[in-house]
Amino acid sequence: MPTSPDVTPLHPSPLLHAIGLVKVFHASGGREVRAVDGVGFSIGTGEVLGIVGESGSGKSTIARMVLRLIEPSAGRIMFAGQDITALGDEAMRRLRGDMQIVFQNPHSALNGRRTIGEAIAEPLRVQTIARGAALHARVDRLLDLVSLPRAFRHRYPHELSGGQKQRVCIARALALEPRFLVLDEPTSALDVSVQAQILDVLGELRRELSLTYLFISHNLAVVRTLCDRVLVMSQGRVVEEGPVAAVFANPSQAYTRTLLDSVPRLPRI
Amino acid sequence: MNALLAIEDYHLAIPTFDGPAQVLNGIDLALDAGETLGIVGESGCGKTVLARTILGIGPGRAACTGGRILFEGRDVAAFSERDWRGIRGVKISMIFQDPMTYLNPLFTIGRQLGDAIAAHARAQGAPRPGRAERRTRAAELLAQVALREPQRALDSYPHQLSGGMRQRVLIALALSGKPRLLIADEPTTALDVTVQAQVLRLLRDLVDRLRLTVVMISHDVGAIAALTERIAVMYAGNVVEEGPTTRVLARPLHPYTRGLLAALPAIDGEIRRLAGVPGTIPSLIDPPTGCRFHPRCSRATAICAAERPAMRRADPAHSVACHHADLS
Amino acid sequence: MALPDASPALADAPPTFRMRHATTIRQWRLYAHLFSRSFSSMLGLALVALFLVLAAFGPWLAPYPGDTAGAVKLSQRLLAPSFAHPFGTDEMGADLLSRVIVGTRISLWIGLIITVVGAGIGVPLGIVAGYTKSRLLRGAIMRLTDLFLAVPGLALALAIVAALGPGIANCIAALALVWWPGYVRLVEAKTLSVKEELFVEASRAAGARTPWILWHHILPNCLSPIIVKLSMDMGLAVLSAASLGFIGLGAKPPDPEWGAMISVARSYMPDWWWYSAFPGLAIFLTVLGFNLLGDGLRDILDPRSSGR
Repeated sequence: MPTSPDVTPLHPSPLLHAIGLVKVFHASGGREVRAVDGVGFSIGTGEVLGIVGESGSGKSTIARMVLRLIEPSAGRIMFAGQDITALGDEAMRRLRGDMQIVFQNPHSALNGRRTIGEAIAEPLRVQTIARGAALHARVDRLLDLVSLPRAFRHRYPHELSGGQKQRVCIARALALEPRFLVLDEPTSALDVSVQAQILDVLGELRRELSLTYLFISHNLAVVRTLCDRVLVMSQGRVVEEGPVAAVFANPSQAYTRTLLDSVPRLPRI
Repeated sequence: MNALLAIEDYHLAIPTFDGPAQVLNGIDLALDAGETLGIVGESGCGKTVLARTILGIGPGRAACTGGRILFEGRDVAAFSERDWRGIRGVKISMIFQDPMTYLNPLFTIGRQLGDAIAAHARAQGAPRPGRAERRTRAAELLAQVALREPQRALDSYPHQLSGGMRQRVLIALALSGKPRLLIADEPTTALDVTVQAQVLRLLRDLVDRLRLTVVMISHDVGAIAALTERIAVMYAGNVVEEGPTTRVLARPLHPYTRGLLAALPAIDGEIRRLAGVPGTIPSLIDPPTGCRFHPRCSRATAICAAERPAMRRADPAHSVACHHADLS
Repeated sequence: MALPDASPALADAPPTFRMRHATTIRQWRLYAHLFSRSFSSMLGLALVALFLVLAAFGPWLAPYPGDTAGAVKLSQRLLAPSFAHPFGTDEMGADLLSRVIVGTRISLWIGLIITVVGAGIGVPLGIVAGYTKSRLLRGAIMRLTDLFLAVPGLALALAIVAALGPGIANCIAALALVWWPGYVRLVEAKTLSVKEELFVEASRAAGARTPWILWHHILPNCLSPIIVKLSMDMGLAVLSAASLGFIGLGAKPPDPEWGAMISVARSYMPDWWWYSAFPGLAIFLTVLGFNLLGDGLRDILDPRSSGR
């Protein structure tokens, strides 16, 4: 059942509340593509909401709109009770410390010409939070947090494996001590054994730092492992929404069922 | 009888600035006609290099440092470029991960299939089939891969088709020469999960119907399990475990295979914490001594660092390369 | 939220310089290795190094330093190459070897100023044009660039010099003014691709302002092609300056500038061939050297080779 803008949020005081989000892209030839078409959801503090869908479902566009990395064509985003849709550049810039993102492809999310230490320190420097010895110590702590050796600060991205790079990206996202993290397919470019490690790190961090996640993925099994609630999307619209256990055990929509049935199953061990 | 494809103690090194990377380290695999073999492993394990080396399109500067690969009993290293022309796409075909890259965007599907059909006719010394005949055969090929409206697809350009349709076209191209061996390199990785399921069903169906011999390479155990009867697990240039797919997945013997399966999130059943495999894949330039997995292995002992474990049989079909595997 | 404190057990000894810069050291060794594998790159490097040495120490290396300032020794007019005068002498009796050596400095200076000023104008414009969201600004910069590219650079420089009056300074100014459009094109294209990279988006998500992103992310990733083009352009700029000198709009005799020397030597062809041949050879080798060097740099700075 598609969520309409006036549905009351599940949480009395959600950390993030998106209302009637729309994103229209103008394709060549004057064609309009509604990548996201009236999507609403809310995320309670400490909750993990999964958005699952196939390519072209609009899930990555939502990830970016929530952080206003791209501007919504219509709709509102409330963060911690504040409407951030209309915030000016400078106010939005300061708010970015509270909401961060980890991208799908760690290989392209790190600048190949800057060291790992510089990458992790970047948010602290641009928000002028720490410098000198304090900055150095913060980077050390962030490396500890994602279980990377401190000596990695001198390395360059191309010397690291995919999993290590993704840990660096997580450390960078945590540098400003955000409350809310958008995880845009954080494991889909990684091998399964590394994916398990990263999902584990994300779970740990969530408990330790009481974080709230918006987790975007095309992988239903991964969503099931990490998320509390799930939003199933198709072609820019919400097809189904509910607690993970309920949706996976008993999908109410045919599309969700098709998705679930398409996942190859291993012979029972 | 002779195996269709036999890889015997094959070693391959790629020179790099920091020294030779030993990407394949004594691979032993054999495949009879009609068999389906899945090679599963994570990035850097050498599975793609192995698949390409079988087809003689491995990395340019790579050098075989031991062993051999036999196709139909002949050493592929001895094939000339002329020999290869009669083999690639004719006796051995390959389908790739990203179908768009392997289709020429400037020509219609019909033209590209027609060219392949003409090339196969030439390779067999048959007269060049006429335009109408090429089109009929191309349509047949597309019908074979269950592409809806094959006539319309023939007149389409690759960008006008969806990812799943393109992969079907690529499978049709691969089958156009009636190959004795089909190598599928991550054939479903780039596809959405629903399309992935359709393509896997199609491949399964083609294998049954045409009695294809298939080597499928993938990092996705689920996709491999859906298609192949036998599975080989690769780690850092070695095959660490090999056997019937159902048995290996039900009773994995190598610690790496176990770790790999424990890392897989499940779509049903109890939600559990994923275990994963600790550590990272080793450098192939300076690989660990003995068993290449030992630095990440919870069961490793002194012998694991000292001695490379040989393949041992748990039963006639299932073998494992681990000093501590429980073979009973 | 608060980060847990770092455990003292994890604190490690301060790394040495070698450890901290291990990657950079390896990278430079790799560059050196790749570069030294190519004969033509090494030849280019050797030629450029030779001319740099001549430019730096010319006045001390020249056998007859006095001859470069316009000394007149009529008894030694137009002597053929010999041990005393390996390149021969000119119509004033000045030693050509000395004049060619000392001319190196002038030519390289001219080339350097032209390319650096050209890049100094072109690179910022290119980055702005590539990064800006304003279609108007981008359009204005790119159309102006197109306008300059549509007119042959040397012809435009000629017109400018003709308006300003001949002389080295005007010649440099004119060439620098026509040199920047190439950099705009190059850098704009590169910026367009780099700005789509996720690390730029990540930087924006962290709250970085545009100047920070341009300086820390866009510019460093545009640097390789800029360096290659600078090297290639050095040769071309030297050639262009010599051309202006040759037609009498640049340096004036008796300044020991190669183009001006050939210009005078033209009337002594072909009997006194050495007079024009050696300055010509110097121009040829400089252009060749910088081009080969640029080619070699392009090969090693290619991003596809950086992972090796």
